[in-house]
Amino acid sequence: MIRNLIRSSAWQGCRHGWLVLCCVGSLARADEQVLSCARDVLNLPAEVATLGLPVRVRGVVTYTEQSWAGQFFMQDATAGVFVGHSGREAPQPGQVVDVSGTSHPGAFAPYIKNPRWSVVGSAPLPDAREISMERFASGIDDGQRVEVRGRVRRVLAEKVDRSTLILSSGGQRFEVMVRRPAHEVEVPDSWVGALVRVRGVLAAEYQLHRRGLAMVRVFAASPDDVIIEQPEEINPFKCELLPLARVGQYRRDLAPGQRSRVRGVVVALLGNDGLAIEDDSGGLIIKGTVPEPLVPGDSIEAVGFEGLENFLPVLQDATVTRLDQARALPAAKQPSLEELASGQFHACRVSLTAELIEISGRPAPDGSDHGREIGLIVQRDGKIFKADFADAGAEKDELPFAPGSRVELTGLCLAEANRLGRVDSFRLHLTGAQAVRVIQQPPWLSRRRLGLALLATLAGMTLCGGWILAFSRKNRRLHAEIQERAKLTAELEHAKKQLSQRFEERTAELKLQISARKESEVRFKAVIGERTRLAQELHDGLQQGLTGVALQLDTASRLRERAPEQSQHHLELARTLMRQTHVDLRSSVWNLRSRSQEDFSLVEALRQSADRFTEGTAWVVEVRQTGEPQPLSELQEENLLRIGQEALTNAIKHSQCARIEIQLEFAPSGLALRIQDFGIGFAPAQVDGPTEGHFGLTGMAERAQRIGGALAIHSQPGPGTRIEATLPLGSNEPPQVTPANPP
Amino acid sequence: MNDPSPIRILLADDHSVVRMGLAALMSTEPGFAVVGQAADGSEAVTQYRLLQPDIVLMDLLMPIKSGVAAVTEIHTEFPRAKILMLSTSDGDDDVYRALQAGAAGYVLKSSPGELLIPAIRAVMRGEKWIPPEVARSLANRMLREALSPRELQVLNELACGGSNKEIAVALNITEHTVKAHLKNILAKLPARDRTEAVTVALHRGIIHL
Repeated sequence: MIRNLIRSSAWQGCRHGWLVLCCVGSLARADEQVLSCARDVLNLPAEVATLGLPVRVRGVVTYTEQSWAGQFFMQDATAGVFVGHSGREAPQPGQVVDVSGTSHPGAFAPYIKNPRWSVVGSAPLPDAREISMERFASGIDDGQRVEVRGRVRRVLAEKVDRSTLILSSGGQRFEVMVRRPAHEVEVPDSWVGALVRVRGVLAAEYQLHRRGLAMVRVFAASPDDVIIEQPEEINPFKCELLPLARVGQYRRDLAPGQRSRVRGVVVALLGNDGLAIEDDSGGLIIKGTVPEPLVPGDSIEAVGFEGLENFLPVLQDATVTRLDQARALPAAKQPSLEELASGQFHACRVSLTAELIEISGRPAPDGSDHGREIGLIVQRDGKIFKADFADAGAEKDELPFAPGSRVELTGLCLAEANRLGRVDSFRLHLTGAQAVRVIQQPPWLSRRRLGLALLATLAGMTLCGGWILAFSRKNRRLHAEIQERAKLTAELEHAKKQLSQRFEERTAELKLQISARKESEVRFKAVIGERTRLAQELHDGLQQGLTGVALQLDTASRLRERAPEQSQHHLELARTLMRQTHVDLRSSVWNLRSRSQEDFSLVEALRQSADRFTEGTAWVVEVRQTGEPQPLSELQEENLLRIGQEALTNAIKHSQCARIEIQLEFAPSGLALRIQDFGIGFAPAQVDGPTEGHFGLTGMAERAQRIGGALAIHSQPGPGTRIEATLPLGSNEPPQVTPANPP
Repeated sequence: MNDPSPIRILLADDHSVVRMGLAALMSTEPGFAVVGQAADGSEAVTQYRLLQPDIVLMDLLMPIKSGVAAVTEIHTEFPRAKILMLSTSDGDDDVYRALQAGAAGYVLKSSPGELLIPAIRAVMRGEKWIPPEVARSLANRMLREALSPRELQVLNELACGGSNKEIAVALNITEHTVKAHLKNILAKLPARDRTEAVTVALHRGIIHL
């Protein structure tokens, strides 16, 4: 099951490492789930391979060698894979082995860790798959037996049981390790220059911490795995000598891959960068195998491959032989600056005179205890160029020349190409300090000294000038100060005036702002109070009244068939309620209007109501207020006003007398609103029925209750009726809304 | 009328016209009997204890003790009490609080009286009764962020017309804090200014006058 899972493309493309990790983790615990082919191991994502899944595979050993301490490559029908340390000597290529171990993500590709193996037979090595250079360089075939083509550039025998071939193909250089029986057949030098086919295991070298590719190599199990397809056509050691200047030039008879033979005198040794030789035609850099230590002046012959480095010709992978011991070096050429910068004298020994501008030193890069690299910057005809040499002296040692000197430099000219590949400058590589000959010492008045002198003069002048200036200023200041003081006094006076004026303006502004803010606060309070009262009023009056009407109408309609008489009664009630609600609404609207007056007060509103009700009649209504008035909330005011209005209406309607007294009495504990008529009175039982009067009385009582007060009705036929609404005014419960203008 | 055991109903509303209308309507329905009336929340609780009716029609806004408070009290004492809320308000907070307190249903006074009878029957059967418009406003409530208790206090003070300074003094906090609360309140309701905040809050039943 796990194999199917792993093979599925979803697995290979899976980016959700954790998810995969979890499911495989649980699967892997089942003992029988074993990775049984090399491809399964390679297919594991690194996160999964880390889990150490069990692996059991059978395959042919494809490569190993002594120094690998028992590690080897093997390949089965599906793929090749690397097998790690087992603590024993590795099986030999061609042996068939059963390997069991655990998966490991490896430093590049997954491999089998902690293997236990046994040889079960032998078999021919698996077929090698021919791959392109592109595929080769990608490292994707790590561990697989592959076949690649290339031209042998060098042969190195570094170990007793293997040789190293440097191959080049399509501009790529790579190493092929060829295993061979110890001390027996050496890979012959004659392979150099041959076009070969190599079969072997592709192995990636890795950057351990990045788990990334560093380079790719091929490990061939025996010399038989190197098949010469085409030997070098012409023996390069016998072919015609090529003038050095001709290297890299267009030659109709040039055979690609064919080595060239050159001769010349060694003019410079460049360490790892090869050596420079010169003949009558010019110079050339040679890189390759040098059989014995050479010195400048030695005549040599070199056979190698023509190539380009940094856009300039070089003889690569050359075989160098010395023809003659050191003689005198050829005389240094003395080309012009233009000629030097043109590249014609690349790798030639030249000398030129110039002015030394700057010297810099740094420790030799190879890490040797003493020795340094000296860099010189020199100038000639306004052009600046560099020269360098290795010096045995310590970093701080004085050199026998100094900046500002006129010097003659003799050394190797190395042309330098720009990004476009065109030679446009050069540098000189010198053999040492002795290559710098001082023609003229720096003048005493060096630039540096001149600068210092100038600086000192300047400083002195500045000081002098400053002193004189300070002195004259002091004098002048004394004069000015007297005038200044008078002027300042005047200015101060002026400023003071301005300041006080500004202060007054600002104060006025602030006052205005403060009063505006207060006004808006008051307005907000008024709006809120008004809305609160209005909402409550609508809720208690209109809404409840309409609800009552609707309920009565519903009742009437339900009884219409069953009990027409009762139905009629409820219709009547609905009508009465409707009227009452209408009156209520009218009062609300009137009160709303009276509220909009600026100096609203309860007693004044009661007085106005009385005037309104009795206008054009003979009624006399007396409105009085006693006691110290206390602030009331709008809600309280409104309800008291409505009680007063209702009582007044009732009195006018029913009392049949012409005088009514309304008294609003404030006491510290509360207030009382009394409406007294001197009419016929009534027995409260008389109004028990659902009449307008009844609704009126109930409404008043409810209003009183709603604002936390009580309503009392004192009525008897005879002395008249007194309606009294009382409202406690506790100091612990301050009124919520302060009226804008308390009476 | 012929039913041997009629549904015993307690009416609680501070407006007598409403009580009267309700009583009249109930009397037309066979098997309904209004056994008591209460004019405020406190009276409703007392009456309930005394009468133990089958169902209470309870106004939401009543003096002395609000409808919600009365429901809470009754429900704590009599967990099986069936209470149907009545109100002119479809403010979502009211409904929410009443249902939280244990009310079984909600009827708007503006809805036709005919609807009241099926509502009572449904609640008697043990069902919940929530009219669609109320359900909608309840759903809206779920979507909105609730005001914190402190913000509610500030809103209440605001409704009383308090300035920032006054609110700060009343709640014993700094004026700066009041401003911060106010900002949150405006954002949550949402409202443009303090006046609108009070209006919205009243409409939604978050605060009462």
